[in-house]
Amino acid sequence: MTHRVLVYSDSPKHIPELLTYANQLSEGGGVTMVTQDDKLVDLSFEYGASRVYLTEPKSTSPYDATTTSAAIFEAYNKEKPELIILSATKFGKETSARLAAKLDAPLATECRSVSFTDGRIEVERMVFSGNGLSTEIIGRTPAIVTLQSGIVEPRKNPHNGETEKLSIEVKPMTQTLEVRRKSETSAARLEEAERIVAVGRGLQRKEDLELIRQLAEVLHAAIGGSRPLAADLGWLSDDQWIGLSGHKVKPKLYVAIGISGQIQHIAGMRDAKVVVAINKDPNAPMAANSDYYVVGDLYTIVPELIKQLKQRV
Amino acid sequence: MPNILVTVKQVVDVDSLKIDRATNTITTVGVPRKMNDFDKNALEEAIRIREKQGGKVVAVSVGQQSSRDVLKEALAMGADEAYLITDQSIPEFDSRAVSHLISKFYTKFGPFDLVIMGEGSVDHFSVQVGPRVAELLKLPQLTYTRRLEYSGDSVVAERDLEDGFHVVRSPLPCVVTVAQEINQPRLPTLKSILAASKKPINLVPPSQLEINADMLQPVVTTKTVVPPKTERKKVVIDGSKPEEAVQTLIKHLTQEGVI
Ligand SMILES: Cc1cc2nc3c(=O)[nH]c(=O)nc-3n(C[C@H](O)[C@H](O)[C@H](O)COP(=O)(O)OP(=O)(O)OC[C@H]3O[C@@H](n4cnc5c(N)ncnc54)[C@H](O)[C@@H]3O)c2cc1C
Ligand SMILES: Nc1ncnc2c1ncn2[C@@H]1O[C@H](COP(=O)(O)O)[C@@H](O)[C@H]1O
Repeated sequence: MTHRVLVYSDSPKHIPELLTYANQLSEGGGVTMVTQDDKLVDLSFEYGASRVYLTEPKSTSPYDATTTSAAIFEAYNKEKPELIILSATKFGKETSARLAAKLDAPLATECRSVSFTDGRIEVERMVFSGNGLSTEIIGRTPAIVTLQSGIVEPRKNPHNGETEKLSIEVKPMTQTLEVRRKSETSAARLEEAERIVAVGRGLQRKEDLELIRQLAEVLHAAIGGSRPLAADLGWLSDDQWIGLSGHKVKPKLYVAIGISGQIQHIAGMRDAKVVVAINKDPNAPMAANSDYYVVGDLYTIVPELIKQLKQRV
Repeated sequence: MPNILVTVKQVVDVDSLKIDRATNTITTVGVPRKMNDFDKNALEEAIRIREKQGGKVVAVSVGQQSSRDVLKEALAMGADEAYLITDQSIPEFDSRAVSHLISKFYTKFGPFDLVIMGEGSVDHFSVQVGPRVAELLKLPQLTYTRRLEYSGDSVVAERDLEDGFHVVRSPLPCVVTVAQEINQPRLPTLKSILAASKKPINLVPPSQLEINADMLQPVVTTKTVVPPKTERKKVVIDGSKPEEAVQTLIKHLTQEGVI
């Protein structure tokens, strides 16, 4: 059975994945793209959009869910797709929810998979702060989902489709006064990092971060941490924490130092390939979530680890 | 003086879930319940505004009779009034239904100047009720708020988004959803708990709210919830001899091909 799918994104990082996934789901039914950025039109056709709606005027206020959901709503009215897909970024989530209310439609956020099964849409998503994997059934169409990143390998699938302009009359309801960019050391880097050294409350002083930096350097790793270290103590930058309310990462190697491994932290690094932990408590929850669990004091283990790693190269 | 609506949800304590070994599914039967963490931040923020500006904080919850407990807690923290939207014949409301109920409540019991909600609920983490309510009421939305300033006819919120912190001004009324960083919620005192026990929890059946049957019809239903499988090797390395421990660790990591 073929299905009609509509995708919205304004992020060059997410478009290849979203369109690859949407094309698999549509089974030839056609995937339409909505974007506000004319620079993303070619990329969309390259990854299999059969039509692109470009909204005009280009939103003067980025991250405005009111105007963006109105744009997707217009495209919906032209295409009447069964499924609308957005990425599960913060902005994608708030836009999808506003759109869901406009269409009075079901919405499932942060899906790890979506399928058309026996004429229904089934999704998988994490619930209970990462303690459960839930399978949910969406009972009517149009349905809206937001997709986690990293669930499909992007595949090029060039199309020669048409671009249509959509004019949007809706004005933003709020006014952006200031945007303070986050440092590139943190957010983006964590999500793409192949190796991550993450640190928690086991660290005694802010100055001791130097030790963590040295380890990260020899491992060519990005630095992240638990929420208390970033949000409460402010030892790491504000957006450098990993977990349920922070970043979801999937590196090849994750080294958790002085992190107890509460479920809200695990929710952010569950998909790491190999997990190493260094913790002086043999019974911390991190033990059950590690491949290699070194029971010891980070102040003796980490320097030794740095030393031996340096000797290797 | 602002009239502030705060939504509070009763959720299962996610740290006390039980696994039904026979079916390998997660069960919430008999699991303790509590107020959704983010909603405490929402309440705290509303109470702080009232303490400075005067006005009123109204707490509303959608759920079963057991949700009275979180409304009592809201009163004990300092909410002025509490309302429970409940219908015994409907065991569960999905996010769409909850959003319809809250927006109809707003219309009937308003006008409100501000709606403060949590960013998400820690049970299903659907992160959608806030923006849904905003759209149903055609109000602006300020999600992921980590700082809020109220000034009579507008609010300025600092929002934590992917690329940066966005400082945004919105006219009132509007819907704000808060992150945990916004404040440290107060603990009720014995005195405030006693005072709260004398205040009523007002029951509101959906039939009082211009709701049609379709609005409460679930559109997303849960089939199963299983424990996520993350198979870790769980190799424990004794670190009492650091040199040997690290040698062992490096050997493993080399074999895994990750260093
Ligand atoms: C709604 C909600 C959302 C949350 N979201 C997140 C989130 O996104 N990310 C997150 O991380 N947390 C989150 N949390 C908080 C989470 O529950 C934990 O409180 C937090 O992860 C604990 O951080 P920690 O492991 O650094 O600290 P602790 O739990 O205090 O653990 C410190 C660990 O260090 C070890 N240690 C101490 N000294 C040494 C030493 N010298 N050498 C070696 N080990 C040592 C201890 O044995 C202990 O295991 C959230 C909580 C809630 C309620
Ligand atoms: N049943 C409910 N009763 C009251 N408020 C709710 C309910 N469900 C969700 N909310 C509010 O909506 C926010 C976001 O929840 P959710 O969209 O379910 O993740 C929560 O923090 C609550 O403030």
